[in-house]
Amino acid sequence: MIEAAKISKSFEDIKAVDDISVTIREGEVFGLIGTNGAGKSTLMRMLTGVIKPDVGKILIDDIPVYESPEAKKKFFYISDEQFFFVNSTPEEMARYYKNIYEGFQIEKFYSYLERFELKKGRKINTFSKGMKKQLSILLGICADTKYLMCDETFDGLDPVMRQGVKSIFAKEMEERGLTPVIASHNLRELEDICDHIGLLHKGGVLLSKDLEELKCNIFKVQCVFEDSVTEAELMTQLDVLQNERRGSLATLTLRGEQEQILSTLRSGNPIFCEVLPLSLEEIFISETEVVGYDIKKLIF
Amino acid sequence: MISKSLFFKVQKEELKKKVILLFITFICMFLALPIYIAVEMQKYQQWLQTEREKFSKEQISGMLADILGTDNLIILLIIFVLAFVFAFCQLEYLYHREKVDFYHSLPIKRGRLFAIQYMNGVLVFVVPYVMCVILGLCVLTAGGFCNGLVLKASLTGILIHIIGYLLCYTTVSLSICLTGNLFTGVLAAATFHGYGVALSLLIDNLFYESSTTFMSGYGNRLIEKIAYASPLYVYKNLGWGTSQRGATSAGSVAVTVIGSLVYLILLAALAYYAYLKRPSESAGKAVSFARLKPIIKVCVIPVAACIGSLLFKAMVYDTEKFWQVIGFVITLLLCHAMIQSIFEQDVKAVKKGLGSTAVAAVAGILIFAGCDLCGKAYDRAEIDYDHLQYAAIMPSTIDTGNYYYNMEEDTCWSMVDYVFEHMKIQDKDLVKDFTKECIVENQEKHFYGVSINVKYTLENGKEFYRRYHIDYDTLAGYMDRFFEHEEFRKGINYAFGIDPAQVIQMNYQNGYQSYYNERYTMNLSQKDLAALLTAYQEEYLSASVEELNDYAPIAGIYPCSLNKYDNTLEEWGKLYVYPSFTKTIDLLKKGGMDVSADSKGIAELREISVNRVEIIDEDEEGRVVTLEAEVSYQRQNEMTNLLDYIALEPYCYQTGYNNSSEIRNGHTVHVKYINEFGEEMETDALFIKEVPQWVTEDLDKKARTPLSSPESSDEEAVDAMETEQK
Repeated sequence: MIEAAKISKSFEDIKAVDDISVTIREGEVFGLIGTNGAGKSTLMRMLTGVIKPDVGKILIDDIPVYESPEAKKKFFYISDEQFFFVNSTPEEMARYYKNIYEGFQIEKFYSYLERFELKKGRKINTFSKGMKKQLSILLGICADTKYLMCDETFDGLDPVMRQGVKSIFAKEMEERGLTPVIASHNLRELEDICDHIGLLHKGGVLLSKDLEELKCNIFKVQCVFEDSVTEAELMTQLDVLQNERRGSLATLTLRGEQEQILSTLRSGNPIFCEVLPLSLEEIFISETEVVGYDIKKLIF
Repeated sequence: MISKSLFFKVQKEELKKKVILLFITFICMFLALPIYIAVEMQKYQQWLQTEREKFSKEQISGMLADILGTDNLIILLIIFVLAFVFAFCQLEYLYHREKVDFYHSLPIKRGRLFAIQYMNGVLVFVVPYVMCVILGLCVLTAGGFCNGLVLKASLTGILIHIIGYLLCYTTVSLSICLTGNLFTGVLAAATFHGYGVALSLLIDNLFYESSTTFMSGYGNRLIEKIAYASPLYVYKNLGWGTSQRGATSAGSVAVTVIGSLVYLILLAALAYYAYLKRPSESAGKAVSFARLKPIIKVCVIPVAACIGSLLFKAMVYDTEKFWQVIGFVITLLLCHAMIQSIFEQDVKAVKKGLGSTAVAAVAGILIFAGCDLCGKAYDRAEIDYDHLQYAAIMPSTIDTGNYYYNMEEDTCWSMVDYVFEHMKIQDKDLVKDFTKECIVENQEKHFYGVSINVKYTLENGKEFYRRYHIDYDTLAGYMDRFFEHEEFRKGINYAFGIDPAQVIQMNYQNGYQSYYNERYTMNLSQKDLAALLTAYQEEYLSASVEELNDYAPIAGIYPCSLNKYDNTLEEWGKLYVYPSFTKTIDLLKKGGMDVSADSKGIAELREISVNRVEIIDEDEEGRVVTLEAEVSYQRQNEMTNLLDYIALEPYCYQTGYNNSSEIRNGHTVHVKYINEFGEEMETDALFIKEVPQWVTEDLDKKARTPLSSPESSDEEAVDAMETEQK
């Protein structure tokens, strides 16, 4: 488990991260969402022990991460700007990492390279941006560490490759309990992969919840009632996060258990009542609006 | 904890990425050592065949040993450049965020990572360098020039050059750890290497400006020691201090090496600490530690501003403080703007950091005021004559301008250096009378007169150096008293710094040869050469003041000995032969030299002109007002008569006592003549005895003309014209 407790970091006059506490449990995919400048990369760099928080502590499996090789052995960090040695090839990079990470699986790395159609002997500086990202991810996965920290790693990957990477993640999670931590400014890219989402804004955590928990507690319902008086009475009995109306058709975003919500609505004899699927983005819009933020301005 | 095997594995992997650096070192050192040795060896082998009598194999080995030794400036320069480049190659990743993220997220402690990079930077130099030294030794062995001296020089060279490399490399590493980008990194490294020397020079110059008696470069050990803050200066002196020539004793070598090692350890510890504490987020910024910014400003700006003020003053060539202040302020503001722009990477940031600049300005003023006060106090400081052991007095008028060869250091000394080392006047009364008068009469440095360099040595061994500025008249009153002392004569003549038994050759010049700097080599046995020098020493000591005062030298002789380090022939210095030195002249003649009092090389005189400049007054601003007069003589009888009163160049200027009297004051002579080879020559000359009355009268006539020009009568003007025509 990765635990960051009340960490803050300032760069001269700018507060990049302000009193953040995050817990990343093992075996789940943690998504870190936020706009540019929200503090995602700073948080990631602190989680990986690259920079030291001004205040607070970060523990990886109960070991302080800063200046601790023991803690750092447990993760592989893919920075938003990947670094490869000058004129190096994937093969050379793998050999370097093999010396650093005891469990680095070189054969597996070669097989992944083949699967992603990357040549092991080709100079990395001739790779496209997307290819370099793929290579970073493959190196990270094959390092066989418990945690994989990816900063903006999925941005720029084409959908096919993204699916490929996701399937590898799933496999690794299943086989050896890999815990990927993925920072991104694109909510849609994380929607189908993350178990837990942390939303960062202006250096602070706006929201940190399990995706399942979010999905099980928020519903979108479209309904039509015969009279507005009944509808208004029902609304007082429900936890309405959002209420949009087009003529007599009301589209409600409601918090609560699905069965209970539906039985409440049906007690008002609606002409039409249907539960609609809710995207992660819509869930976030609803949740953050409640706390006074217009999330459309915070995420893409 | 990282395991040892992981440490070495990473080191090996990192080293693989830097193979090019190994190659660069090897190429540089291969050219500078084995190849250069091979070329030199071939040259010397030819010497052995053609000049066998002059050089032996051992002598040539000594010369070749210098290439592998410690005092090889080319190797020093190469090593400095390599250290600079390699430190940046090893640690430049600190300047790039993606690289910092990569390295600092690896499961390796920062201290270990620094050690890996640091050691690799050392290995890429040391391995090829040592290999090239071994190759150089192989070349020497193949040529048959390898001996104990060469091996000793090579081993010392390896040790000292590695320490030197580490000094420079560690300094640059420290600079990189303290900065966030390449530009400021290079600036910081340059500052670290030059700061001590710059500060030392600045204090020396400020002291020189504020004091009228301060002798720059003599006895100012504290100022000299400040320069040791520069690692490159330490390396340079380490090379010299451990070389064959510079190593005065085993103890001094040990002190030099240990001192350098302590300095190196201190630098390495600082670099290590800076690396550990360096925030990773400082990549790309100007300075790694924000707290350093005001400290850097307070250290750099005052020194730069003071240097700027001195440069400004030199540019406008004014002695007033006004321009110095202007220079100080302008440089201070410029430095502030530049440093602030660099720190903030924004030219608009000049408005920031004014507080630290104000502190820097105060520091600069304190440096100025401190040096000024110290300089004045230095001038006022009284010498403890009661405890004076001896003194060396060196008036600038007797400085021949010739160098003395110091065999121990294999360097050339100025006459001041020689006098300070060899003159030991123990007559306290004479020293006290003269120097007290010097202190009273002391003028500004730019005064048109004589500089008197004095070294006082007290009974407790302490040494004090002073330079007074007095007029000719004051000095002239003492010259006879000085020359009465054997210590004075021995102290100003190089002959007494030479052991006659060491002289293996003697070169000779008469006046004509001196003009072209040609020399004849005397054909004398070593015994005769020793006898010649001994005779010269005796005759110089026994010569009357008049003999030295009233006659110009007729020749110059150059005793030569073998350089004890490389066995090349070295001239000790020029000794002037006076007409009264009969024994010396006899031995010169025995050596085949045509010595005569009139060997001036003149076949036919064409013209002698005499110029006189008199100081007649001072204007309101204290500037001297002069009256100039010049007369020319073309009649043979006048010129021949005049020739007896003058000495031609090169014997006319500062050849010794005879030209230091007040007679020459203001008079210069110019002679046009045909030499014994029919060539038309022009040369300067000076009066050595009194100025003939008829010449003074002619000059007076000429001099009065311009003074009375507005109201002068026609008759006087005609007289003046006639004199000029004559």
